[in-house]
Amino acid sequence: MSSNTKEFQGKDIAEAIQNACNSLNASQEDLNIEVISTGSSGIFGLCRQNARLRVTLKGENISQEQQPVSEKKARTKKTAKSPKKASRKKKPRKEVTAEPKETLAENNNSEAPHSEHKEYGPEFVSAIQEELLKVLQLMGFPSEVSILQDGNSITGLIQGDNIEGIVGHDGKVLDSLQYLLRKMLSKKLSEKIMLSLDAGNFRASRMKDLEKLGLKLAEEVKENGKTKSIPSLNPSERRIVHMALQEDKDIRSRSVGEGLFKKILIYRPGKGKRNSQAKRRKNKQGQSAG
Amino acid sequence: MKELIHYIATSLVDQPDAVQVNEVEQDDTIVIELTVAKEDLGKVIGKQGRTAKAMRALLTAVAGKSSKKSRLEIME
Repeated sequence: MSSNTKEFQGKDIAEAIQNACNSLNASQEDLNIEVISTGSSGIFGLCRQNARLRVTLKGENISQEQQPVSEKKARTKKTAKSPKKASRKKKPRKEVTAEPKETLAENNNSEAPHSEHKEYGPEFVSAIQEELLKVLQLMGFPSEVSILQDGNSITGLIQGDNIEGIVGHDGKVLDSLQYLLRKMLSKKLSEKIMLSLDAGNFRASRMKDLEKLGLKLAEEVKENGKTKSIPSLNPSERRIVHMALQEDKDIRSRSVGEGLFKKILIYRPGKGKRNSQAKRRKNKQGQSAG
Repeated sequence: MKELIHYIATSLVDQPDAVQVNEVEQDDTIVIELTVAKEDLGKVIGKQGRTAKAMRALLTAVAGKSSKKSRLEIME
């Protein structure tokens, strides 16, 4: 390490960075900061540990790769406490500041990194096709498979006589297959792929069905004010329902439950237990954000 | 069915050589016993058992063709 590396301490990361900036007379952007320990505030002021940083002026020979990672870690920890500090940083972050409406954010994780546009090579496509064919054949559902590319997402379209078996009840088998294939392929190709599977026109018709169901229940809710629910939907399906009901100001929809499969409640805003819960949650979010 | 689970499991784990699959048929139930290296247990089970669940869903679909039941047991 170069001789210009110095260690700084502070009660938290933000303060330590500030100390470093002051004593080196440089702005934060000009420093390579490596977090040694994030420190902890302890309990009732006991066992307090200082945050420690190792700081080098930029242009020195220090492994640059280490720096953004550790700095980012520190930041994510601190954002809640010192939002000012965070907003002052200039470097663009890849982190998705995803705390918007739950309804929209739900299944975006599979589509979020759309910003990086990337094409997959032919060897990629054929590997995917091969893998899918192989699994289908082992399942005893030999079918035809075609691969479609749209931006950086890939759709494997399954066709043939066995579609019903492959889709399964409410698409459970197809979803399982999709999940397993994603895992297997990302291991094999050591890269994450946006793979989705479709059989016949199952996805499209499922989407229509869900929208119809959502709108039908919404009508019923509007008529008699009773909360309706759709049981056990996976994230992408919930998203479809939420999107379909988003425009309607007379009713609200939200997901309840634990784990992957949650149910959707469709209700009329107004008094009532459910709504007060929702309000409370909103308040909480507001507090943590500001 | 044995081959299916074997193929999927070997594609998921770090030590494919340690994967062993047994198929036992009891009445109308097909029991698949999957053994993997200890370090790979998590890989075939998955977060919240999601991978295991997905494999079970596939098995159910396959077994359903011959109107049988299936069970996937992950051996420790």
